[in-house]
Amino acid sequence: MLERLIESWLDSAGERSYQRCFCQMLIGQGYRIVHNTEHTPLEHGKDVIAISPDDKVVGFQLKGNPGKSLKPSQFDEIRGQLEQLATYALGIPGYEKKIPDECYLVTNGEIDEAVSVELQRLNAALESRGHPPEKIKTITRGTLLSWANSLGLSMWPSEIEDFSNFIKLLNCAGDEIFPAETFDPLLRHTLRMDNVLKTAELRRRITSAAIMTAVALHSFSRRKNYFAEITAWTLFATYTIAACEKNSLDFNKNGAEAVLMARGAIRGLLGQLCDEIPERGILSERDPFSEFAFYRPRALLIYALMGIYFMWSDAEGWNEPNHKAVVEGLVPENLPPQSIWGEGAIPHLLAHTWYRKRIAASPARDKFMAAVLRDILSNKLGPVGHLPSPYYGIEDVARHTYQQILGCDDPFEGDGFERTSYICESLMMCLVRANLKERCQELWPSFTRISHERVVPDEAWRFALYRTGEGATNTTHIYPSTMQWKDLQELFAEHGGADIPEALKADPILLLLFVTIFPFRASFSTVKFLHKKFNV
Amino acid sequence: MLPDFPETKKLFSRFFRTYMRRRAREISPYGAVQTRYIHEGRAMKVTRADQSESTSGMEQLSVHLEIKFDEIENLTLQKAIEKHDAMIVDMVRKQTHFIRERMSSEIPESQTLDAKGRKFDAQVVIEMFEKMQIDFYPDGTPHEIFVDGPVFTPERMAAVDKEFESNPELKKKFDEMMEKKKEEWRAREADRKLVG
Repeated sequence: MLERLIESWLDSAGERSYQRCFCQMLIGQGYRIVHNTEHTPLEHGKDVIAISPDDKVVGFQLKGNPGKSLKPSQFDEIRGQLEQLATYALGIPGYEKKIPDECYLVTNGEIDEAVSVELQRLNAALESRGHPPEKIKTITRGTLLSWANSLGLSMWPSEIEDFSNFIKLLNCAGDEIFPAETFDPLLRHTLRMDNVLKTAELRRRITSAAIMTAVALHSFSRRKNYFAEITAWTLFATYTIAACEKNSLDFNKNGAEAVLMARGAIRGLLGQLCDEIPERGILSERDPFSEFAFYRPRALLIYALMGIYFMWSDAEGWNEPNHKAVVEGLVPENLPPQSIWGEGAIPHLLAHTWYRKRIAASPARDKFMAAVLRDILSNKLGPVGHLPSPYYGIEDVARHTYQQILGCDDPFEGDGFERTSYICESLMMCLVRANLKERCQELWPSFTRISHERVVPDEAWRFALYRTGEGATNTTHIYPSTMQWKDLQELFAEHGGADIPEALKADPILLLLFVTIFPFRASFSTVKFLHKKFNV
Repeated sequence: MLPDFPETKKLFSRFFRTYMRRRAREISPYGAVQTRYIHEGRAMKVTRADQSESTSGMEQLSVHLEIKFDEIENLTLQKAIEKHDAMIVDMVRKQTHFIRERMSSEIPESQTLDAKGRKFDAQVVIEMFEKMQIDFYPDGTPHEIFVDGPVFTPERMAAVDKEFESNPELKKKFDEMMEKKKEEWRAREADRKLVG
């Protein structure tokens, strides 16, 4: 059954989505990817360049022929690229002037017989020019399926509940928010989070989880639901980090390559989102009559994602230089009123603020943060309509607010948010670090009237999961009524991040993205850490 | 399987869930207490303003709901609700017992009063309130005070009210104590300062 599902995925996957999986399968076979067009502009017809386990430079040209064969007319179009693939020297740092030792034409479909003949002729011509025989080989649907089965499927969890979750993901319409709660047990079970793993098995399981991620995204990739894809690949990356740390195995040796690929995919997806936005003209999606409940929260999320994309590209180089101006034109200097729909919006606000500070540092940004904290405190101390905790998302807020007309369950039923906050400490910390003493003094009485909540995982690796499981403590912190400014400064000057896995701390962009997608991970400790990294 | 109607049954199930939650709140002596969901983790820790800490774990409370085969045929909505009512009473009893036990173990000695067998009267109320930290609304009215325990019967509470009404000395003592509590509250509020 699962084999058929993989077949069905491969037979309908576009070039980009199977390219991500293909790279992960290469990594699973011991290759090291040194170039991937999803992350950088095209390199002379080579979509992927990798170093094989026996140290050969191998070039791959990928074509998407889902459910079809590569026809002679299509081959004619790529003949030039293939010749470049086989004969051009590379321009990649560390491999300059090197011509690939092996080349592959890869398709997720079949290769027409006439194309095979053409390929033989091309190889013969290359041989006559001094290249080794059969310089260009092929990898087709059958090989990809066999790799997916041996590297992926063989390690997927086989419990009926996992199977059902997997089917649930494949049955998604693809236009919704990615159901992380369904994906979480699949990743946990594939990476055997409840067991101890040795190096070789962990590595195999990481590849298997990557293939699962690509296949589970099938419906979402088809709908070009970039945010869903970003969510899933971010989870794959953080779970890989968690698995390495949990098993005390060197992340750099065992998981870094796979995470690097996922990271590249995420950045590519942010780029695709950036491409899509100007075409739309407005940040709305389909039925405009329901947008009153979603437009502003979505806009804030998009500003946060684009802000992260900007900071990421600014640090590591722009793959699409025109995107810089697109982001600058898209993300407004100030947020519209009523942008804060819940505590879950605060990580989005922080990403927006840190991005804007890069563009134009201004004390007004910190003062805006003070106004947000003032509003949240007054909301929490007020009689009704308390902002929900970061465990509730945009959809929960809409369902709660319009429960009567929607006739649905109240997602907040049984929960209370009065005089309690997960995020106010972090905002206060930003103000203290910005030395806004007077504002802090104004806000202090209200700040001490509420209880401040934190979830502290027992082990750092649990932080990188969608849910920590039982291994975490819910702490409530009540500040003393009177406190010395100096003591508060000292307390908030700490770096934080003690409960975050080391490999995630080493990648602040991924960490910022993780807390943007999963705001309940924006703990006080995490925001302290991120503030040090991003606040300029 | 036999023909079934899961979608509509889900709606009934939703009704019973909501009914149970609401009814439990109505009959529980702690129904007005704010509740919170714990989304992950099993342990809880409170660090208070004076840096004192309390840690606690979770406790699983369960109750038994039984429907016999021979009851099903004649089951009506009313009877199903009655079954749930019995279960709710049982659950609230267990919750209340658990809360009382946890409060008894967590409340510091300085905030407890041992009445040493005396009956619950106006003097005990004054002594009890003296031990408590009482907060006030900005207009000066005290926050609502909820009582729970076997001594707080409606009859006893009414008797205490009568005692205050008929004994001006006790009433004066009570008012002075509340005035003192208000002053303490004002001082606490005035102390909410970031200094230095």
